[in-house]
Amino acid sequence: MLELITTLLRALSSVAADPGLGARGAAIKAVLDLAAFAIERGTEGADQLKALVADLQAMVAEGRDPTPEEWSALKLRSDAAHAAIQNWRPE
Amino acid sequence: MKALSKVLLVAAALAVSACALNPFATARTLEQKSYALYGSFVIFEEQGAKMMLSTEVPNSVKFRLQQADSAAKPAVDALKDAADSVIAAKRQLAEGATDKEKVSIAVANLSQWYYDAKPKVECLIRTVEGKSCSN
Repeated sequence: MLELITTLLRALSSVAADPGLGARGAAIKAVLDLAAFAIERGTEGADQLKALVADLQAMVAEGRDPTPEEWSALKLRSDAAHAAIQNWRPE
Repeated sequence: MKALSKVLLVAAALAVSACALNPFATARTLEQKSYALYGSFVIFEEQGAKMMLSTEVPNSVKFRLQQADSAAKPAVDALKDAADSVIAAKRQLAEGATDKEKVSIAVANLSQWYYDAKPKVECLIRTVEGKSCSN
């Protein structure tokens, strides 16, 4: 459902980008793009949270704690995201 | 436009929280809760990294993300190191190479790092959600 909404928002954004619509079209496009971006981020985050909860449920069911390999996999992802955030500079 | 951006980022956050997914409620042991904290941090840090690439996200939000990430990253990495120490101490105990006191110390250290990292991770999450953070 959310995928359909973002597809619709992106399609409407393309229409709003028509040069004939001028500044108002550009403003509408910016709003639609931002809305689609926000929904995509929220959906992706929810999917990842579901995966984390599933991992933890499996650990609880197996009566074990996270392994060094599971910790290291998380740290690798964090290091990459951290670098991306910290390397950003305003244009 | 800035106000609208904030509203839309909050909407994205609501899409996440609406799913009522709570890794902390699932975890039972301190090690599992620590993993839930680090895992939640990574998920929102990755969302933050994608926001940095977007021209649709205001620079003011990106600066706040950098600050929140700078504050949280050393704490969560220390949390991971403390978890590694617990794993090592428990392994040594199983092998008869150490005593229970060393495991207790490692667990107490992990607990300290957990409570140190938690508000910093919550601050990053709030920032990604477009909310203010007092930390």
